[in-house]
Amino acid sequence: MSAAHGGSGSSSGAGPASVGPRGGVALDLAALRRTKPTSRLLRLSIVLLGLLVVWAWTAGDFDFGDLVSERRAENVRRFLGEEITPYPLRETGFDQAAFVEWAKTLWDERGRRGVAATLSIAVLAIALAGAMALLLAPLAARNLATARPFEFGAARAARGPGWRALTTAVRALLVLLRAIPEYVWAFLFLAMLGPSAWPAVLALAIHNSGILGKLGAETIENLEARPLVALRDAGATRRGAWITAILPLSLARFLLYFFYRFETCVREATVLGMLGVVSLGYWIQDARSKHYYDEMLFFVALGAAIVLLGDLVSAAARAVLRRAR
Amino acid sequence: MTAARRDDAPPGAFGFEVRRASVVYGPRRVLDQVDLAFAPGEVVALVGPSGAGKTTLLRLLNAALAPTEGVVLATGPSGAVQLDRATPRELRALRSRIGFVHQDLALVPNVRVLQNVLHGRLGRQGFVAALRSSLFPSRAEEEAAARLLDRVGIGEKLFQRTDTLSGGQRQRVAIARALYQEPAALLCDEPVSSVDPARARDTVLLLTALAKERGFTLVVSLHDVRLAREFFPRLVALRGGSVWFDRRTAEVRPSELEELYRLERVELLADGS
Repeated sequence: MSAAHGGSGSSSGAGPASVGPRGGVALDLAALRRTKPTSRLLRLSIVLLGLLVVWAWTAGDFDFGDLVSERRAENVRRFLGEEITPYPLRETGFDQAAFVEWAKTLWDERGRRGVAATLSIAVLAIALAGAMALLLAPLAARNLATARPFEFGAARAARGPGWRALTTAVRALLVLLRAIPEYVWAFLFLAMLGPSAWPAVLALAIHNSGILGKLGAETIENLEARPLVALRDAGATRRGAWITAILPLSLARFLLYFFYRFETCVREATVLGMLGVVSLGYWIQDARSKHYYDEMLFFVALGAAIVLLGDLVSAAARAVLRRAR
Repeated sequence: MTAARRDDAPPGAFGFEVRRASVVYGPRRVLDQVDLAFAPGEVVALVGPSGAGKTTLLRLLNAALAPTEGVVLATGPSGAVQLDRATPRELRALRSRIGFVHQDLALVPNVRVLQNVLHGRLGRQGFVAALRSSLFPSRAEEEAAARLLDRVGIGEKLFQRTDTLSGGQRQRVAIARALYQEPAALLCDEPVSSVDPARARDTVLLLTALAKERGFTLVVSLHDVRLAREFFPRLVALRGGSVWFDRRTAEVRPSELEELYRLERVELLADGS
């Protein structure tokens, strides 16, 4: 714009209009500041959030005095000081042999079974979910479930009403599957099937197939179109392209999601035990109801250990898959 | 099933007829009233500046695109098929015999070269056969793919992962895949736009030699006019969506080719202002 803008301020004074208060700045900072864009929405949200927090603390049944009352302090002291100490050690103080003996008995009697049940529920559930997702994802992918697959910029209308109805139905199904929490699915299946590991397996499988199906469909929709167009041009059917190109192209990403959900499945399989499936959660619940807090803590620690194990397996697998891509 | 179909597939080459065909995208006429005929077994180069409609014309010929107006016919020994009227089944049968080498090669990167070559047969395979040959390719399939790769000069790459190959090598895989279709016609869209001049010459030489040796119709769009003049007996020049000239190469004057591209520059200047 003006010639003064280009010249360096410190050397010569340039035109009178461009000389700032400190003799060099060509811009009117105050004017710029007045007209700078601000986000009203952001400011409003911050104020609203503040009000919300104040409301939550005052409206709820919270009382700081209650949290730190004498009775509660006594409870906490007893829990930490006595109840979580392994039973055989309460009189004698710490004795390694006795501790190992206690842990070994718990592990042999219930722990091993609980861990095995938890892991097998998680593995079976995620395998079923993965298989279901592989079946449903292509039907929900808009670039595949269409009258003219892999078309460059194909119009919505060109997909054909039948195909559109199909993807809509499958997508609705996937939403339904994942919208209902695995806990609720497990309740439903417990009511239907009675207590066994199946309600937990099916609940986790169904919820996760909804999630994996959606992620799978998005993976397919985001695939590089050109290899698929080339196969279509050579006369390949959708199913042919699915098996020869789409699956290899998206496998790494599918597995990435698969292991991510496996991690969650291990955790949830533990929790679902509290419904009566004989996973670790069952033994946690069992010990709690008997007020054996030492045993409860042992099973909680076991649960944490296998969740950590699941995380490590999943993280390792995903790291390998990332490199493979 | 695959073998039976292959045997009764017509051995003859396809011809194409384009009658007053236009392709319109919104306000743009990408092709405008194009009349062209390609005889079975003919070897033709499409030349012209970028945006002249070469790719669009090729996509009309393999029915990836239907003309907004006009008619496109594919003629084989068993008669003519109007491409935009063909049923999906007819279309698939037709496409399975029309090879198309894309500008960007468009291979599946993370499988072996072998698999990419075998994908050429997908137009004639059912789901189960496709599954089997991608997981457990038969000895016969391996040998057929190896022969084709050897013919295009990269036989030793048979079992390599496709994304480890160079651009020029991948291009040869794409050609081998098209050959595995046992094509009645081969359409190539700027096959040498991304390789160095020496490779480009080799590739064009290979394509025209293959057409002669196997008798398929070959239509290649090329940016490089010298290569077009050297290897193709007939040149079709497109400009602004219309046929600028269509002649035996011997009858094309160098000045005409110069004019074809000079006009583009003039237009670009006009557009830019």
